[in-house]
Amino acid sequence: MKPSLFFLTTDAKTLDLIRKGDEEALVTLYESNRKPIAAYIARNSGTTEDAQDVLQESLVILWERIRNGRFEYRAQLNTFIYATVKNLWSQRLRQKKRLSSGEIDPEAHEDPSPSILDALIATERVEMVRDALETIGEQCRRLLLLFYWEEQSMEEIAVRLGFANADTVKAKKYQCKKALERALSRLQ
Amino acid sequence: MSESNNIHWTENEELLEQFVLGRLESAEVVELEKHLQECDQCRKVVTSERELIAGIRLAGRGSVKRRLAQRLEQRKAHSPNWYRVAGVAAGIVLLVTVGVHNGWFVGTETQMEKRNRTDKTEKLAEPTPAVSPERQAANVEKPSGDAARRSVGEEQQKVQGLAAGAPKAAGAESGKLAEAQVDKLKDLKAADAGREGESREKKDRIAASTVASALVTTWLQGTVISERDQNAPAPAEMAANAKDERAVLRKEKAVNQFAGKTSKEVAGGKADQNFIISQKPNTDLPPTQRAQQQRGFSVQALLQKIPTGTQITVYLDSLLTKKEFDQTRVQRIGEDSIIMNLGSRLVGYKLPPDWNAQGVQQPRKEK
Repeated sequence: MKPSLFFLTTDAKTLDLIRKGDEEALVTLYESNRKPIAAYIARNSGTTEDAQDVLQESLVILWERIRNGRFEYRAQLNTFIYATVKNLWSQRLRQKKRLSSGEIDPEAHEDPSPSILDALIATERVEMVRDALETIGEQCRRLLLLFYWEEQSMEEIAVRLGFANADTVKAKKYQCKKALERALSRLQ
Repeated sequence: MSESNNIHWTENEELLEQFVLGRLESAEVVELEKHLQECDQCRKVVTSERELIAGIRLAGRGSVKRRLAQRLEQRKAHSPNWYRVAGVAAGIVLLVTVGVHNGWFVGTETQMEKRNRTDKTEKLAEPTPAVSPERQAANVEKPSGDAARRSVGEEQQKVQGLAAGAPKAAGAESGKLAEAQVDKLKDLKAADAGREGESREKKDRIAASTVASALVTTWLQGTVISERDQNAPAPAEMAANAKDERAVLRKEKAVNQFAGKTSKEVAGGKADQNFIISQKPNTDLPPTQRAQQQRGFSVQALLQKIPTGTQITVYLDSLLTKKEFDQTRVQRIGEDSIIMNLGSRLVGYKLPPDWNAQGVQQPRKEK
């Protein structure tokens, strides 16, 4: 079973690179999946740009899962990417379909249901947090990303960002979170 | 779970964070959620915390996606445009096809062919086997002294200027020969100009060397001025010591007669350093030159312009001994005449007009 061994080796290398934070591994995965994904999206009424966007998004999800330790290696990485792309693309198609039928267009409904409004407001707030994060210091931004997005432990963050120990990181994280909340309140 | 029983457990930020991040035990989660259903304020805090974390994660995904896009752009910018490459390749193939069809590359020669052609050119420049090919090659390939310092262009110009004058002075045959050589060399040079991949400098050097050795070659018919006894002292010695007045007078008279110069001027002449002398048996002469050489009264010589000066090859009925050859001197008489003591004979040669030996080095002799 040489081919599977080969893929195992390649995937193991890629996983290792991503765990180490090497983003070049994503570029390699992108190149190896570009053609089949483009073909799939083209077959499903999408454009080349759609294919690029969805593929990039699936790679980010893979990155996120590997980084926060929630990725389970059950199939080849390419298989995972292909499945993620299919899910993402079908979601988008559904979204497009709804938009074209005017289901969730808030301006098309004079009295939209509270749940839809809440969802929109929540989405808007999330985007505001994202924007607010860009306004705080680089160290705080990195620390919050490592803790909340990549879900790294305090010890790992201390090593990555050069803090003395986990307690220092914990104190710094508290300050950074407060800084983010202040930035958010300024944007609101 | 005392805190979970608290009506505002969300005030405990660590617990709130653990709850939102899903890091609590399921039983604990159930208890906290039960409280959330009753507490509107706590629900708002949890929602706010969830939005905050969702916003941070959105930013994280966005930053990775942005960096990935940048990397892909960079790679795209550095990778070759295969459509363009294919277009250029197709163009080259088309050009080669058309070229082969029209015979553009027929004249292309290999390095070996080029070397052979250069050899042929050198041979062509040599009207008779006057100088050995090795000797000539050495002269062509190893210019030294002033000649080496001269630029190729200057040398070529000078040589061509001399070549233009040479046929006038030389005999009709040598003039024709020189003209033919000039034409052939012009053709060769024209062909050279069209060659690809050959450096200009190299071409100029080859052409200049070839022209130098080819165009400035002329036959001279030497007149035997005097002939002395084998046992008598050499004329140079006689003149230097002034012991044999008669011999000196005879020499001066002969020189004056030959060169039309005064005895004083002749006496003031000295061995010319520009000449490199060599000797060959007159059986090596080409038939036309052999016919002109009257036995005992004339000595044919081949005069060649070489980068290091002038080479004169005398064709003798009997070759000089080493001692005699060592004593051989060329003495310049005015601008256009030389005399040579070839063993027991003193031979005078009239040089072509404008002949001016350059690129002087120490005189060398070759047997």
